[in-house]
Parts: sequence; C-alpha cells; structure tokens
Amino acid sequence: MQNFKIERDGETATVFAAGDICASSAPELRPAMRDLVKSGVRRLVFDLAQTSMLDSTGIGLLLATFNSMRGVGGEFSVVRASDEILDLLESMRINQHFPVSGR
Amino acid sequence: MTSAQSGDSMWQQMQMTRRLPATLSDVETFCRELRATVFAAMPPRECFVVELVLREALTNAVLHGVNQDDRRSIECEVEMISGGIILRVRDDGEGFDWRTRLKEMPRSLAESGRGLEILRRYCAEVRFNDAGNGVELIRTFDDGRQQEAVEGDNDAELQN
Repeated sequence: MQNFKIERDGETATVFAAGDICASSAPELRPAMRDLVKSGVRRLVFDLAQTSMLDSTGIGLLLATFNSMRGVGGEFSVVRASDEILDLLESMRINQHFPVSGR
Repeated sequence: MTSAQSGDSMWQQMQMTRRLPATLSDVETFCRELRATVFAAMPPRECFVVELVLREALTNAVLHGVNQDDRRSIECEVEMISGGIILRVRDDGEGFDWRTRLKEMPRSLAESGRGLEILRRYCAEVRFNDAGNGVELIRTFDDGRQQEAVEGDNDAELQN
C-alpha cells in the first residue's frame, strides 16, 4: 500500500513517502531505512509532501530512523509535512529530537 | 450496516457498525473507505484526527487484542453526534490492563507505545470497558484537545 521513492546523492538520501505511513505500511519501510544507514548515508531527509496520514507506528518509524542516524553521527529531518501531521509531531514533542517543517 | 435518518442533518445522525477481519490490511481498507465517504464531509483537520484515533484503536485491537489472528474479528461503530463523533472499537480478546498502561508514558525516544497517548491527546473522552477489550472514543470537533478525560466505563455495550 505504501509507495516510496529514495533519491540518493552521496551521503545524503531523501525518502519520498506517498500515501499513509501507518501500521500496515511502516514496517516495510524499516529495512530500507536500515539499509540506507548501513550503506553510508549520513544525512537523511523524510519528505512528507505526499503523505496524508501518519499514525503512532509511523512516528515509531521516524524515531527508529532518527535513532539509527544518531547512532552513526548522522542527521535526520522531516520536511513538507501537512499541517495536520506537523501538529501531531509537535504535540507529541517529536520535533524536540529532530527538525520538522511543514509545507 | 449503515443507517441514516432524515432531520436537521443526515450526516450528524449517521451511525454505522462494521465487523472487520482482524488484519492490518482490513483496517487500512476500512479507514481509506471512511476517509473517502463518511469523514470526507468533515474539515480537513477533523478528518485527519478522527481517522488517526480510529486507526490507533483498530490497530491496537488487531495487534494486541487478538494478536493478528485473522480468524477473529473486530467490531467498529461510528456515530455522528452534534459537534463531534463517537467511535467504539471492540475485540473478543482477553483485553489488557488499561489502568496500568495509562499511567505509563513512553520514553521520549521509544519507537512504540504512543497509541494511547494519541487517543488521550486528541479525544475529549477515552473510555475502556472493565476487561480492556473495548474502547469508546469521543472526539469533540471544536475543542477536543482541551478536554482530556480517561475513565473506566460500565456501559453494557462495551461489556463482555
């Protein structure tokens, strides 16, 4: 159900996730995020411009990816989140851990 | 089963009950269906929040209530009320100790355990039945986030 695309430029990777990042779809993204970190990505951007829904499992995916990046001294950020997702991440204090910006 | 009555607002008086197979893909399909139909009449923020809390309740029932046993099912009821919506989700599992869980907060970098916090944050009321296998969520459209209450409920509808 989840469509995602990864653009890589050296140590930087941008993940474009279209649709929902939820309990039914987030688990399939986890291995891909792990592989990016293992392959040397040190700056990872999650672009949510096409993401309409993010639930607690999706938040878990973002935190897991952030934790992995932090473990290797890398950077992680979320960009172009919808107003609703931005509000969710802020109200859950997720933006205290990594930069989160809206559309 | 879906029923709607005539009156001031057909939307406000709508009530539907659905029994789903206990799988995450069925939860996904059901939520997408509601987004395109019932929830589509709401403002974008309310559409997002109502779908979010419903997803959390349904996912919790599938994952923790019946351990993704697809031979079992989850019952969901959606009831539009004036100024808000009531969502009821129930599974036939053994339930969980919601009284203890509600006292626990996930570690700030924990990768799971935020479902209940989302329910509490966005719903005016979150009521579990005694067994912990049924929950009633009330979302007040205008100021649901300012009214937080979590309590047990002895409503017969949610009892085994």
